[in-house]
Amino acid sequence: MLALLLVVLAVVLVVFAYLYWVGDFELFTRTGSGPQKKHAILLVGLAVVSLIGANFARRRTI
Amino acid sequence: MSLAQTLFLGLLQGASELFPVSSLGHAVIVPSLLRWTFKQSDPRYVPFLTLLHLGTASALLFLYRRDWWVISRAFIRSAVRGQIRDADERTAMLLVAATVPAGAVGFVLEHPLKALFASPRAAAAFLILNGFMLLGAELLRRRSERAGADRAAQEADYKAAGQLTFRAAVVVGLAQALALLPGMSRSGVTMSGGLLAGLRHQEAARFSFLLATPIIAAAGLLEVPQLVGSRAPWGSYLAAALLAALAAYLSARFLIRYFRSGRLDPYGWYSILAGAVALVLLR
Repeated sequence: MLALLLVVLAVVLVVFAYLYWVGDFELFTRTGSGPQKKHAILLVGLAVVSLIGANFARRRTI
Repeated sequence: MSLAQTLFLGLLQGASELFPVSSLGHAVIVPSLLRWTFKQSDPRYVPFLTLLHLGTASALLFLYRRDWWVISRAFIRSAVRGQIRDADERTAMLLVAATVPAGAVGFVLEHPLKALFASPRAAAAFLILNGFMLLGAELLRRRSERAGADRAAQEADYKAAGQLTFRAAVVVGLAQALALLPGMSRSGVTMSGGLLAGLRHQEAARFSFLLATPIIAAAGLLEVPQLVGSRAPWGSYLAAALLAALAAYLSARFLIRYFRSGRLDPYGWYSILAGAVALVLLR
């Protein structure tokens, strides 16, 4: 169950990363500052960590 | 900025990034105290800071090149397998566990905190708070130490970085969010957290520096796209980055040696004194 949740979280993070990259989403940024590539890259990094966490949860060894 | 100012700020950033006295606080306070007129909101200041961060991160990567080689391989092995089997894999995952909350909290709080507290007086006030945090961590540590034993014996009672619990690593990572406040030191927060989690002083410093490397490197690399097309005086900026790298390398070597038996107290007192003097002078 935890593994599945972490995979879903990773997908959500990637979607938000795309929205930040194209500039459609500005939460936690200066309003009107355009595409937030830094935020997008950070979210992709967090998505990768979520997938690693899912891999750990799947094996139940952490 | 003149060449002398650029080089001075490079030296200041490289040295103060690893000492537990807040590089961001010094970068905000010192130019104001010296009545330097350049604006930190100037678009050319971003590439400058980016290069300084990359310089500092390069120095840390060079200093811990063997550790990072081992940790990187251990991280990949463990991530693919979904299992921790040895001490190196555990250290790698502890660093990930401590880095993720710092990144996530920084993501949410960076802009509001910078907007609220980017004044030299706020930085000076937080520098004083940083000093009390360092002294407080040492005070709590002294209470748990064996009275009467020499320093080496006292330190031997505590843990290595790889023995940290995952919960403690996450708490140390979360505490790093405090360093978004100019004047609060990231290395000070992580070393204090490490001490409270039961690490030896030298191991707390090592864990802090290992933890700093991906964060400082990311802070630099994420700004690299802004360098493209920027009209910056590259020669002087690169010279400052080299100075920052040299200062960071020497600082890290000094601190690792110092924390064999040294404590955070001198940096705590320095932070309180420097913050108080800055508050008076910036009235």
